[in-house]
Amino acid sequence: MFIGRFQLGDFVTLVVWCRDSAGTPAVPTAHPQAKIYDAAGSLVQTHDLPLVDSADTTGRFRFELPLGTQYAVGYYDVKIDYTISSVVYSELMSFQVLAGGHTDGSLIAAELYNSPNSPWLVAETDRGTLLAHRNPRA
Amino acid sequence: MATPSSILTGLNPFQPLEAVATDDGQLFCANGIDSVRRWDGQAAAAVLAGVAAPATALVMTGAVSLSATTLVNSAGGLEPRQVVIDVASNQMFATYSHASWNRIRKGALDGSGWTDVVLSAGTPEDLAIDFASGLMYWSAPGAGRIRRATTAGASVTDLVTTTSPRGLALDLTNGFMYWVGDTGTTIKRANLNGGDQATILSGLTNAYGLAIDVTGGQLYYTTTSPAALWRVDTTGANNTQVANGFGTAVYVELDMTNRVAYVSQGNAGSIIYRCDLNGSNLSAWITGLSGPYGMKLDSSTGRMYFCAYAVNNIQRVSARPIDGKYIAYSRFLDAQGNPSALSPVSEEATIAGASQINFTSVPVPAGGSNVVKRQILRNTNGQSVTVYVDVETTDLASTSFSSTRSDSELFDQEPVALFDESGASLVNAYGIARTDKPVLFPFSGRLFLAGEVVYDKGSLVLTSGSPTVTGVQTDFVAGFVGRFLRVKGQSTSYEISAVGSATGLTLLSNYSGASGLFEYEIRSAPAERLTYYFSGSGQPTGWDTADGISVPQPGDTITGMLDAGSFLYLLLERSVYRLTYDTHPGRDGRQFLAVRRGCVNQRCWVQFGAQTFILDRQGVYLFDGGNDQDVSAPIQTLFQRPNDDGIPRINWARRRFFHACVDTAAGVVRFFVALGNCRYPQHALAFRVTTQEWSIEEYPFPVACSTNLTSTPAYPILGSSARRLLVLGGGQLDVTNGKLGSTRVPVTAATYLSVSYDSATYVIPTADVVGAPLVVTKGRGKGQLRTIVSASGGVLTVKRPFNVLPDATSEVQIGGIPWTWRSRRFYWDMTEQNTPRQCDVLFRPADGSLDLRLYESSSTTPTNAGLDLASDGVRVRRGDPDYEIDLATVDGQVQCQFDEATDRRAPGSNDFTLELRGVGATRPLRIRRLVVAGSEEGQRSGS
Repeated sequence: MFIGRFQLGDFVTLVVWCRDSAGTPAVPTAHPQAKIYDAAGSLVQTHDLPLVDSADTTGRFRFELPLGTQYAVGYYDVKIDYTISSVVYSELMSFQVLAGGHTDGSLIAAELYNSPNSPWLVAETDRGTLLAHRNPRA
Repeated sequence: MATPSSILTGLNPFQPLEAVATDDGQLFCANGIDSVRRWDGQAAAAVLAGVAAPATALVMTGAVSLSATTLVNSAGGLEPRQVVIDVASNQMFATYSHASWNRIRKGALDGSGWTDVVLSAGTPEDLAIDFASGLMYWSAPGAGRIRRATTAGASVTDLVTTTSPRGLALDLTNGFMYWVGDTGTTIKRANLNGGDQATILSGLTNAYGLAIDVTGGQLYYTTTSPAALWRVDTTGANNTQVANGFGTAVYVELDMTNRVAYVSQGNAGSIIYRCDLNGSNLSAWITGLSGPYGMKLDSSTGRMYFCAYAVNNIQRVSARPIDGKYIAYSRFLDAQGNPSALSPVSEEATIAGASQINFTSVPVPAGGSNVVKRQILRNTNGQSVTVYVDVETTDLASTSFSSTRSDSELFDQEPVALFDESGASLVNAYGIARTDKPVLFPFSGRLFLAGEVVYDKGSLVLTSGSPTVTGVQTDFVAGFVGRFLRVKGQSTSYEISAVGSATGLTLLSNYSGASGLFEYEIRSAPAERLTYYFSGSGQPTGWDTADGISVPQPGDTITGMLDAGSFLYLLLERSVYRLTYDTHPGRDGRQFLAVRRGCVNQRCWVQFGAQTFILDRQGVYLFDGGNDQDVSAPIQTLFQRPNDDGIPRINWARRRFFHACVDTAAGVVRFFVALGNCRYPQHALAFRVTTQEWSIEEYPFPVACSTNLTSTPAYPILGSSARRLLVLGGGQLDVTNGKLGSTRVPVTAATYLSVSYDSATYVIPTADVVGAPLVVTKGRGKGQLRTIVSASGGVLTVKRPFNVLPDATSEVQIGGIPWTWRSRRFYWDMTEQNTPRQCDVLFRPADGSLDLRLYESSSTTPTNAGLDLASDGVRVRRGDPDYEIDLATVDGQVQCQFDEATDRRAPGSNDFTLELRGVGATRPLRIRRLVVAGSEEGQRSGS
């Protein structure tokens, strides 16, 4: 399944709804694991998917994959494995990374700060970095 | 803007930082997860705000072992014999008896400026100086003389010729000099000019050193064998041995303030002894010396200066005993000198006659902390109001230190008051702010810290009966210790006792539920959720975590704070409290319920002029400090529970990223919210304050934060993806500035992910348009909005594929912002059958086009045109709802005819609305008026 086109810094939502051999939603014995491969077939990253919406659904796992420095423009395949009753199930998906974006991600906080020496625009990225722009102006 | 500098990394981005500036020009940041940080705008990185206090007390004991400090080493001369000091003039003199030196030298008390005063002084040994008169006297046993000169070394005169004089002492009050004469067998006296010589005591054996108690009229002298200290009246009467047992005894020095005598062992010895003037309490005061000879005490500081004959040094040691009851603390300091709170106090130590206090078990700072310096603070004897910096060191590893400071010397050190006038602790107001509070707010010289973070990122693996928790996609931090973990769907909460890693923590008690995979949440202790804290007045890095105040609103949560007038308002999810205080919030502060509306988070209130607008779960309201007035009735649907009506609702699960900003120039306040399943807000609820009108703005990119420039106009700044900062209202186009090149171009060809244009005719600054929106404004595929991801060679590549492929009939606007405007409701006049139904649109001519749509009978579907028409600036196709208006029409007026579209005989409601739709272009569009004909009210207009 092609799940979309993204840019660096975006989050790719990896979702799997685990079902047993009868197609019934079920919680696997461990968190499902996603392996991301680049177009050359090299393993880029491995992530466990955390459980979500357990009050409303059974066996649903979701992970917001941040596109960081490990990624470049190109196609990626994702294989998600989970085990129910010793049977390993897999789901496959792919996505494309387009040009643009920034591995620092999105800004989630900003504040104008007038220090004694100069004004600054201080902003936090959703990768956990605090950036400071000196003398902001339009 | 230039590439920004990174001032802090490794933040936990689960909760956006709250950053505030204080009056002293520092920026403080909190997020309820990481430690509060401080940045001054100059240093390369933000640092921890505050310093963690030492957790344990040190141990204090008295000791008599002293260590001496060398002031003048052997380069200053050989065989120093006697030293004399004058504190007032900061001078020190010494005799050198070595045959090749044979001189008197002087310098400052610290040994600097050491230089000759008298050369060829005749193997000088004992030295006494009348500083008031500027005369110095010395004995020269080898030459058999007592000599005098000025302290500048002039006018050297022989005063006394006698056999081997030593132990020279002056009685300036009575005008006498005394010495040990005749090779240690007599004590003699003469006038200060050498006249009237007399023997006051004879028959001695091996007498050597001499000192005088002028007030008591007594002389103290030593004998080397037997090694003893003696006392005799200046008349020669009452000769008495005071003490013995020195090994050897050469020089004697008196401390009349403390009535103590010091006796040195001389060339062969290593000890200076100390005893009371009556000989009691004899002890080896300092050991390990190298041939201590002549001594001189500085009674003002308790420092003893002496000659270390065997190593040719002049040295100094503190001589004042430390007596009393003492307590001590330690504390840490950061690079800016901000102190921590004090450590726990030491056990009180009763120290008697010690020359040194030893501190052991001195706490060391944790690895990776911001501590650069440590201090040990001690009181003076018995008092408990002020302590003084006794030891200050940049050594962050050692656990043992010592001090020789007496009480009088402590007075000269930095004092630290322990309490203010009301008895409140002063020094322990310094400390680390709590890490579990995300709302930071400056008010009246203090920083306030409030709120809580409900952390639920990732999920857990739990085993029944085990305290070990394994996280998946979690970012646990050390600050979670003491918080409580609850598994979703279960009622039991478990206190967290340790955090081992970002994915591992330990509970204080064993997990008692079933094993498996679980969602969870981590929250502060229940008592903390409604408690807020504040720093000391004018001390933004000084936090006393005992100073918390709780809001009496059980079940609610503090989400923000704001100030209005002279009050601080505490914003909760469902209520607002007003805090008022005089001097100290914890002592004289009072809280009052202001309104029963709340606030989503600290970033969801804005002040527009004197008005405060706040977003809560019910809507947006105007807050004046005591009343609330809802202003969001027209958009209430967005706040309702989701249903199947197709209208998106606000996704409150993402509310920590909601924010608001004010556009002063446009008179608009915007609340950015996530509608539907967006991760970050992409919509703004925009309220035009002057007209009380709402509009919903959709942005083609996430807008997860905002602020305002301080320049004029104070444009709103939006934070978006790819760490972009965008100016709202700074231009007509989005992302691209539109100042260079073309922004509206005909399409020559297209694929599903690109459009081509004639690059020879239309010059597009490619670097300027990446990330900008691209809107198909005309022809096939009209209305589609995409984001440009690259531009080169006459091809614009977009992020998502087109649903309808544009072609050569299409035109695209780069950076265009789609907009819509909807009129109020009108009603067709059903009685006037001959009146045409039409709308005149008056506008300022411009490039491009816009569409007019007609909606009838409360339908959400626009009415299709009933004919094909293309004339006088209007183009419409049968079966299509868009009346396409050519904005280039010269006179700026077009007429849209609805007669062929509307059915005058149709049953049902006769209401209608008009909608204008367009895309922003380089030049701002001005719609002057709509003139509607055929309605019940006659001609109506709007603009």
